[in-house]
Amino acid sequence: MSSKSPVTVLDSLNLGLHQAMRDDPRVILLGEDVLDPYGGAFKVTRGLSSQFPKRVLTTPISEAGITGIAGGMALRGMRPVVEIMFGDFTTLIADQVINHLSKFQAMYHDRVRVPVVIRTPMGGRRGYGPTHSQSLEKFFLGVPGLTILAPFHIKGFETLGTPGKLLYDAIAALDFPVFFVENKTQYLLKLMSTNDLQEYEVSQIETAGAPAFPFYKLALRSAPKAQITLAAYGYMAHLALKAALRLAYEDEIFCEVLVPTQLSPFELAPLFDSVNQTTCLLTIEEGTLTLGWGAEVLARTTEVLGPSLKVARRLAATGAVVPAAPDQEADCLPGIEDIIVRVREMA
Amino acid sequence: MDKNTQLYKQLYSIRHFETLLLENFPTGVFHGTTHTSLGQEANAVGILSHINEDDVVVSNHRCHGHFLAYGGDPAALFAELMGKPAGVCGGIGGSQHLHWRNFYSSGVQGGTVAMAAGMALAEKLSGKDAVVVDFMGDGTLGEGIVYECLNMIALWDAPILIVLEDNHIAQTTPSHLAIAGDMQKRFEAFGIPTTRLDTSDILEILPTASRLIEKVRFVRKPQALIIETARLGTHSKGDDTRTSEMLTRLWQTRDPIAIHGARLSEQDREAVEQEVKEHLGSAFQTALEMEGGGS
Amino acid sequence: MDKLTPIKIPLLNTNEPDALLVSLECKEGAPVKQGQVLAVVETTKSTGDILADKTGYLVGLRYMEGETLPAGEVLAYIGETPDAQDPAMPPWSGKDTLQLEEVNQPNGLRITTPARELAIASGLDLSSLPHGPLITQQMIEKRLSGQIPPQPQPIPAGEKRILIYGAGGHGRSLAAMIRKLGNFEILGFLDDGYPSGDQVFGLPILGGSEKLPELAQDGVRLAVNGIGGISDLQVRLSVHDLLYQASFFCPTIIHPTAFLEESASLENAIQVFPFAYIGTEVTVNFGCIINTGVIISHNCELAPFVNLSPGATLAGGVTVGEKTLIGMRATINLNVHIGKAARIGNGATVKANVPDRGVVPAGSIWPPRR
Repeated sequence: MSSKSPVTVLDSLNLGLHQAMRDDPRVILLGEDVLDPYGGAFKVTRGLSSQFPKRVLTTPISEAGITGIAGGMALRGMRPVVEIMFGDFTTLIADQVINHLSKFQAMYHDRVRVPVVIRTPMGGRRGYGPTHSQSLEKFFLGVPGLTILAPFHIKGFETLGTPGKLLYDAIAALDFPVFFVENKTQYLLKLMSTNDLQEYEVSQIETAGAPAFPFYKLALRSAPKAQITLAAYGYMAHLALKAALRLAYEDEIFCEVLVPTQLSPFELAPLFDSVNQTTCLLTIEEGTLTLGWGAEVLARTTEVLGPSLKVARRLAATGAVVPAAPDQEADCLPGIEDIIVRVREMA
Repeated sequence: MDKNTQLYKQLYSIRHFETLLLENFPTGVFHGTTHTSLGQEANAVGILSHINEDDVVVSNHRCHGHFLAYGGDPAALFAELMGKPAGVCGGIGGSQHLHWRNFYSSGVQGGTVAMAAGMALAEKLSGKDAVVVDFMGDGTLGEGIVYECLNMIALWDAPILIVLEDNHIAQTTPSHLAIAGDMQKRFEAFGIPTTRLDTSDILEILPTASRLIEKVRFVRKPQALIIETARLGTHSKGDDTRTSEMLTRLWQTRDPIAIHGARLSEQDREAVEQEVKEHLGSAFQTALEMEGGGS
Repeated sequence: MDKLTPIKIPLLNTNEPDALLVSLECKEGAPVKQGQVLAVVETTKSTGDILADKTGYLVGLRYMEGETLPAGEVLAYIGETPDAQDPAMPPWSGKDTLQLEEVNQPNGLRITTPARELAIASGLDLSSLPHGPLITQQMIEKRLSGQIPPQPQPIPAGEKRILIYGAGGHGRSLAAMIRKLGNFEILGFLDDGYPSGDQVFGLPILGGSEKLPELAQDGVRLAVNGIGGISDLQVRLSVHDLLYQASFFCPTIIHPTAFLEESASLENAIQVFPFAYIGTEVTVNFGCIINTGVIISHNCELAPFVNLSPGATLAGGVTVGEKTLIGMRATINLNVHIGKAARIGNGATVKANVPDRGVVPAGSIWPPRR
């Protein structure tokens, strides 16, 4: 196992998994094609089956089965981590997640715990086509008893990097089911260090939830006060930051970017504080628009801020499917230009 | 008390519990729905007589018989069905979602097979010698996840005994309209040794159950047991589309209480029944008097 | 001229334009045989070997293991001799070539496009603008309309005159250091608390902050912050602001007995006192004070305005947030992170992370034993 510092989000997640498995013998990993040397379709699990041969199970192509099995294992004292190879396939596990894993604790009158982490890469921009490019986490948002997390590509002061630390905490420290939303393009992003963030003033705010997960606020350093709040998570946060930089420099429209790592249950206090100042909100997501993440964020922001919220819009994927052709795919999924255009409309 | 009398008491306890349940539902004291085990009592008692404390039992929507045979408290079960905080799961689970000690049940067909498979694997990976017994029905064979899990159960040698109670009907659908091919061959296709019993006689179930549970415990590989049985009651309440002739025939030939009761003298039988009626009557009363459970 | 054969990154997967350079199998200048494996690259779906398609020497290697490269990119060349070089190719500095997109940062100046265009159109000299804040069109307009006084010209080459702001103990130690270094000419102190014309430590008090613009006009552009800020950090910070507004530049001052590893990197306005040690790959940001005998082990990272008191000792990999003060002879353990605006007392032992604004009392152990 390499002891070098993580460079990318992928490195960070891999290190987080290694650390979690090292620290607790009850952690067991199930997934398709996870054995070394292949190490998983996106290599996130690389090295684990060599280090921990008895605790990495390569499974048949049975997403529902392995998720249900993970639930049973958790009920009897293990801490399973399930990899669903593509986020698109999470539709297959919906029954196990919604009717079983997320309900056991409550329906058995708090007498059991279900420490399962289901991790999966969502997202397109690889030309993989309609059934391999979606962002389906929106269908699981708001399922009671289910926590949904998405890492942010910032190194922070964590040896593992913040994505690895988030995953580590999800596995080691939480006793309830977690849906950990990764992103194919985000895997390759370099973790931003202090040097990379010189243009920004970064704050890390702990949310009020129990446990709390970090919520990041990035404003342009030494620039005029932000006029608009951009809310985004995962890979879209990267695009939002790029757009914010260009909007500042090219149009003198100043944004602050709010990035939650906990998507569900919704803990949006830091966002409300920001929008209270800017009065203008744009949510940006890679999933589809209707009843998506942005819809809930806008509903809650409206409830809390009322008429103080003057302008609110959502930016999301369009189209019936995510096309395979790169130019058509780029049209469908929100990009930096789309964010810039929308913000210019709103400012 | 001799063995036969003891068994009769256990069988009759389940029968009477379910009877009380069905009789009192119209009064509004129970809430929601329920799926009674009438006719299948011998399966529960026969198999669960051979488990020990550390073994795990997973059941489905039709779980009262399994719960009571496992040793669950009838008063707590009545209370759960009445929606009371002192019920098995605080009134939250209701009839289908019970958990007590190592007993778990849930109401989505097939999902419990996955849960049981995972539990068996966990017991195995932690080096214990516990056995998981999972009860499913013929109707459950429609769900894809069952096959996913049979595959993994066999692939990874899960120490599980799957008991398929084939009562030839799933809600209102007879099995010949829902199941193609052969049930036993489904399990055997995955390499899971399968035994088939066609009986409602507890004395025929007991030795097979004992042998199979021992095997799972010591060989640490899965086994399947298909018991052809009869559902003498409705699916839940009011949903039975079988003809009265058919039902009469089943009551006459496939009633485990009648079959086993015939072994006792009339005197002993009546004594047991009286005892059970008093005991359950008092459990019912206790549950009624518990707090909560508004209408 | 040597013939150079380029070795390009292959397109392993039509859906993925980039590949990760997993391993390099030979070094710059090494002999290679035709068919030899030079490197291994991979995408998420496949791995591939890059082979030498002729015998020669590997030259012009431009990347390191772990970098992601686009297909078609030249990884290196096979040359006929080990010293072969394409004169058109700039020499490789050996640094990490990964770069984030840069928007618009000429020479560290942060200026929006509209502001830049207006400045240029109005003939305003860009190098007279301050570095640090993001300069907007409105700020240029204010400058043009006279609301912001013009900045003096950039520091002329050979300008050695330097001011010390603050004539207290810290300022005087700086004076001693600068004298020892001998590369600046100390004009004197600026201090609002002393009457102008007084002599302190053999140097004149030139006045208070009101003297800054005048001195700047005269061509003086260098200054150091002589406020230690132990009891009141705000004062030290406000001096930086003042100097900055007046367009003064604070060079980093390093005592000749201090030892800095080559791989350490220091920003401006840092003060490194005698016998301090700054270890390998350490980053020290703007405005830090590294006092006498401080030990900073490898890979530490100090955010701006951190103050390490004499003898403070940091183990490897320690990160310290902005404006934190670490007391004399305090020891900080390996890889510990200390947040912003924290205060670590003299002689404290810190074994775990300290949150923002955390206070570790002098002589205590953090975390406390139960």
